Amino acid sequence: MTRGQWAAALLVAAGLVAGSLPPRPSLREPIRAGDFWILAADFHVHGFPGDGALPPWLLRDEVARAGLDAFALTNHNRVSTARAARRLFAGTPGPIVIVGQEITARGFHIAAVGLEERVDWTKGAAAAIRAVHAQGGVAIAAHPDRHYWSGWDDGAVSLLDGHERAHPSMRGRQAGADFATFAARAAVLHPNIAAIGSSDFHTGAAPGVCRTWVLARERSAAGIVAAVRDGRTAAMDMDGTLYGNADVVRAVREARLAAPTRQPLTAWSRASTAAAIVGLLLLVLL
Amino acid sequence: MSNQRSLRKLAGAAGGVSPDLDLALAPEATYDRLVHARTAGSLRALAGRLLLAVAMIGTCVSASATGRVSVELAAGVALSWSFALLVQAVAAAVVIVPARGRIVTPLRAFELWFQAHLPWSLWFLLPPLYIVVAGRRPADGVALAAALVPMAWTALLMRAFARRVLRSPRAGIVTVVHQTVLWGLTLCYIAFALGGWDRVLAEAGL
Repeated sequence: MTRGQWAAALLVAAGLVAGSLPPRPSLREPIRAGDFWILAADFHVHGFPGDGALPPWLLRDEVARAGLDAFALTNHNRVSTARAARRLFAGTPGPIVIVGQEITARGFHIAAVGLEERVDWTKGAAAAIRAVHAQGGVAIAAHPDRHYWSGWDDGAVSLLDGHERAHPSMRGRQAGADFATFAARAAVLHPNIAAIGSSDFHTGAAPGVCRTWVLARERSAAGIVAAVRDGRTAAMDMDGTLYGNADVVRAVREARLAAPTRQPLTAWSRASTAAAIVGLLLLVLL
Repeated sequence: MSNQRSLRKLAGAAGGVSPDLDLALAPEATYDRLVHARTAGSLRALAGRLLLAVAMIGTCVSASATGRVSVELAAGVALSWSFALLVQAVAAAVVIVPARGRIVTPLRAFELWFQAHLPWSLWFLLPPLYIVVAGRRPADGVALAAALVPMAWTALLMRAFARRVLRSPRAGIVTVVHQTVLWGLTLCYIAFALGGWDRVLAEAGL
């Protein structure tokens, strides 16, 4: 290696070490509201192996940094990564891992949460939701903009437990209007349907950037799934706007939890990332 | 041919900054020079190439996914995605091992092939650089569309590799075989990640 390459390699190492220095944020203490815990969850997160960038152990760390109490790992038409993650973290402190699957088919996507086995995606939305319910899980219409409407007849919508009301894609004007249209339609067919906020994290927008507040009777995967089934949720978008169950919205506001979730990059993390990336650039060019 | 001419002009302008840059911009001439400089491979040199690739993947994917880097993030991501290098190695082996005309050892041939990393390395580096400068991620569509550049560029480098390192009279066919194996394996993973081949074929109406 030349002197320039050594210098570049040192810059990369310095960036990585500097990025490791800030202490991890401590785990959030959940808040009580009467008989319930107010918990923050993200029910639509992708991981590796799959089309998510991060393996489960790093994903859970990111989820904890985002101040979430639970997340559902929902890879496309698979539960293997989620089941491995649940086994890996059983009994350890940190966010609760819920096994899920993004049931992915032409015309509809469903974030199925609280599963044990993979759900067949080929039989249509209603059959998929019944299969989710048979396992004790809940079915959430994922990013229900017009590109994903063709698979939703009224029968299938009425079987849903929830629909994504807050999602990073809704910042597009058309998608935002579509989400509202789907929410109005779902509310007519299923008045107690849960409003869900999800990040749909793959590689970009952080986990929990849109999130769901749930009023759960117990701090467990089963307790959280039951809260969704009973409609005790509020969806929060990136600006801190809340949608859904009025009691949950009130509880979240009273606990002062409704705040924009977009975290700007700190100067330190930008500087350490810049050092590592510029070092790599020099390393490949010198 | 005009692509080759443009690369040669750029190579002239870059003026031997590094062998990797020379190779990316003037692949035929640089491979000729490198083949004659050393015919035996070096495990250490190959390990260095692989380490650079792993560091590139770990650091850039971490930065793109979370906006920050750390030792733990980069190591964990690198460990997870290092199978991408195995895919590259398998695709390279398919053309290197049976090449009868090559005058370098297989180890040296792998070393020289992994030296052709610059197009994909730059592609990996651009999104995190954008994040650092602009404070936000580039659109996914832009990053995906930009991948067409390293795809085409690397195919040109493989053709030069087949001619000058493997000494193949059918460099075009070698390139097609390599790209078919590489993208075939890559598509298998993409299909797995998107929910399986059955879903991909159904989406395509097949």
